[in-house]
Amino acid sequence: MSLLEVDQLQVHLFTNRGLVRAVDGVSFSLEAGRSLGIVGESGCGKTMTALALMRLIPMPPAQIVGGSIRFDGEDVVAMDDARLRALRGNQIAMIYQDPMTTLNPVFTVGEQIAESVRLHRHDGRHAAFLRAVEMLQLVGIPDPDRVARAYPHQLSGGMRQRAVIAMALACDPKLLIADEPTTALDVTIQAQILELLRRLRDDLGTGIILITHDLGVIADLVDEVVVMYAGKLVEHAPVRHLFADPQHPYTQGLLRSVPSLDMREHRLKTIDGTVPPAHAMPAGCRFNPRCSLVREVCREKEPPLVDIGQGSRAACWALA
Amino acid sequence: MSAPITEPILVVRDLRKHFPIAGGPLGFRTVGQVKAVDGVSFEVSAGETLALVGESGCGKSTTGRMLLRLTEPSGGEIRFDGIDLLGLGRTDMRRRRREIQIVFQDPYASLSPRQRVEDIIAEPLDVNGLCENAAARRDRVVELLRLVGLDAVHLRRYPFEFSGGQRQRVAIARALAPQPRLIVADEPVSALDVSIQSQVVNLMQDLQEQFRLAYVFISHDLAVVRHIAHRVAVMYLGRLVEVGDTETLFSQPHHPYTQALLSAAPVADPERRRTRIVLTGDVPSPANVPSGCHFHPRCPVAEGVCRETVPVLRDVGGGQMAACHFAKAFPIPV
Amino acid sequence: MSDIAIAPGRQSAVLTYLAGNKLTAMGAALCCLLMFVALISPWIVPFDPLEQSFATANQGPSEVHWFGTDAFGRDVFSRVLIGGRVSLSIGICAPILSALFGVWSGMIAGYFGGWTDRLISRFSDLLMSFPSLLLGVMIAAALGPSFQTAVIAIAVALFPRFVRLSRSATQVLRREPFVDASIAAGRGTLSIMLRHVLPNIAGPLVVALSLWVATAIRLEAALSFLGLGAQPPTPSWGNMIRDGMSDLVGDPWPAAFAGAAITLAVLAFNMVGDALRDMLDPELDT
Repeated sequence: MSLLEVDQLQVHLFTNRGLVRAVDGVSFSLEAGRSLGIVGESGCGKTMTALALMRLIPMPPAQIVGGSIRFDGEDVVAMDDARLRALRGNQIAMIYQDPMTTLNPVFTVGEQIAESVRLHRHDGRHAAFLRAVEMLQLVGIPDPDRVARAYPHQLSGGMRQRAVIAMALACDPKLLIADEPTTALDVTIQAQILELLRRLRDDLGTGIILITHDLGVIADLVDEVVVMYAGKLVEHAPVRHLFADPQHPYTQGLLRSVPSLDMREHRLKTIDGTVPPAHAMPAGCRFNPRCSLVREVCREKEPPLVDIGQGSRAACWALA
Repeated sequence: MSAPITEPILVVRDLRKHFPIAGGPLGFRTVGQVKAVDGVSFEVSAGETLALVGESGCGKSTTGRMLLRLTEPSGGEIRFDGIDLLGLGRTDMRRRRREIQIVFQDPYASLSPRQRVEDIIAEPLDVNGLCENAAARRDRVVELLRLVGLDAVHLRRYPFEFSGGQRQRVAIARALAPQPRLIVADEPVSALDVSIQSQVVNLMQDLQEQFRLAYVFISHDLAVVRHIAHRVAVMYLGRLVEVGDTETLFSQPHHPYTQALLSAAPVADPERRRTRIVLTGDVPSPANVPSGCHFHPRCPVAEGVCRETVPVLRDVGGGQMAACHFAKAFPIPV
Repeated sequence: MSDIAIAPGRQSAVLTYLAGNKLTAMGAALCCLLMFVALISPWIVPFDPLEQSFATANQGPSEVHWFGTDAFGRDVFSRVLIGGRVSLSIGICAPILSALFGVWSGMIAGYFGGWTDRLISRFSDLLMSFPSLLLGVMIAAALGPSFQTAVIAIAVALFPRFVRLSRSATQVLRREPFVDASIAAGRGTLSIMLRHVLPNIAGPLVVALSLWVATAIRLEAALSFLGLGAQPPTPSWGNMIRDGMSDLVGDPWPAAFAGAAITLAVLAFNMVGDALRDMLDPELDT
């Protein structure tokens, strides 16, 4: 039994401009101790998917309208609130992009980490605080005792993000969901945080779901990659295969348009056009207006996700 | 790839920006200074792109803004076509503004939400009286829209009707309106999706070729910089640490910070298991700069002299300049 | 940034909102009704509000005198109507006058910062350190009570609030890149303030204006109650309550109806202000 099984997840957004199918039939699974990256550009639904895993999506205007999310065998969508609360922060933890808004400015860092410990493990104040200091040390913060007594604004961006990671790991979660954890950080600090995540993945065996738009971050941290476009899952492959031999035209285009750090190209490759507006998606395959391989069937019917060998799946009529 | 060697149109010498820190009981006393930009010098020629790179707090954005006097420098010289912009009065400066324009990072905040695209793009034309009548104005705006890959049908629309990439194109069209010779691009593609970034970068290169524009390209994204820049200047805490030709800088950096920066940049290739140089500590705040070489607390090769003496930006061979007591060709670890 | 500016082309959102929210639609309608009635009141009053008649003094509401009569036999209904005209004109003129000076000062303070800001802010803070009513009383006492005095007094009391609001809104706006872009294009400062800053801070200002009309009406009532506003025999809601105070048990009607009118007007303008604030709130997009 996998740690996480997502099956045909559908999240709809009800706006006054129309219905937005933010996540439209996404399925994937994650084994314990493995890491999965969800990659895509703005509006692709990756953050909604991540939020749905713990039922954190804002309920209006969004809603999970279909599919199932099984964590350790239990269906998160159908769960009652008490069970869900026991899960959140405890067995599944999440870290967000901006550490400044994740941390409450009026409480010390140690108090915030300890809060999670007290809630789920019913430890006393002192024990919880010790655990907080222990976690801060785990994430590589020097002088953890002093930092635990500090307020968020007294710490730098990198330290805050480490503190947020410490908070997430405080109760030994089986699954860690990281939503753009390094996007707001400087490159050299990003390198530090990525190294930390790598170490934690290796040492603690926590399952990780990493959401990002940065292909460079994905390449170095995850075992498998899911590529999303306009609410759909378009490709799912082991990381090496995805980068070496991408199958879906969108993935190919995406990888090609990233400028290389190693070599100057004469002219960057691009994907023509733009992502269609969320409430006015084209019929058939959502990528078809921008695809160089487009055929008649692409404009009429949505391609199914098919197995294309080597542990990969892709949704494209050219491959089916 | 190299730009044709010509007289530089922009010469910046010892540019400084110090922000006073207010303190005291009523907030009237100046208790310290934030040295956001602390003596920066560089040159840009027509048709050339100089990239200013660095992390947050390094002063690259402030430097860019000072080139247009959007932020008034505290000292130094900015010579455009030989004339020091800092000595100009209001009216003369306004006239000079036609020649130097800017494109900002945030495509959502750089266009006035209450103005139509036509008026946004025409603003430099209106303010400088560059069009004789409404028809000429409209024609010029349509021409600019076409140059950036948009269409006349977009004239009467409002910014909120466009995507990020399209808004950035509008911003570029506005910058082109007064026929500038230099454009300061402050992180112009950082807020855009990857597939849109490449579209806008290509557009900027095409325009550069077509109009022999000079760019001061401010960015933290080294891959984009490698692609678009002829020369690169690396900043750290208000000072230049390395300047040189792009290819040489990327393959053989001469400053340990440049080396660390290049090493830390994520690469979209899982096969490249690199040994990263991971710097310890945080990027210090410009309000509290270390003594001597600003980089010494985090530098893997720092020695005593680095704490005491400020290294000068000097020629280290091959047209490269670096500000390090121990400058040499630092290898990028594989 | 979009929390300050309402995107043009969304004016129909106003009607959509009003259609969906009955209570505030009622408030808006009430405001319009009040202002309209106040405007045409001289022509629709059934009786001359100044006409005294001891024969019919201190009567309760009846078919002839809908709101009864006061101690001087004057028709309360007519007095409420004409009083409304006075109170509402002061209540609307004062904030507008205040805004004219306050918004400009705030914009200048917010745009330029530095010493200009400190000067204007300190002055504004000084005014604000007085309770508004006290300030109004001091000014009215200094200038001698009258309609104009009441307008000035209330305008001065509201001035710092407008300064504060437009200053902070301008400060936020000043940092927006599109203002820098305009400077880069060569636009002059005054032109930028008129073309870019003002239209973008208009939203919160309009909200504030309507809420402070409500405040101004209350202040006017208080000033007139103290005898510092419009002078008798000109009726205003405040001085009607004052006159009615002396015989509250015997003839509560003038005070009661004037009081009810004040309450109604303040409520209506508050509702409109709240509705405007909600409409400009980007959170309500979905």
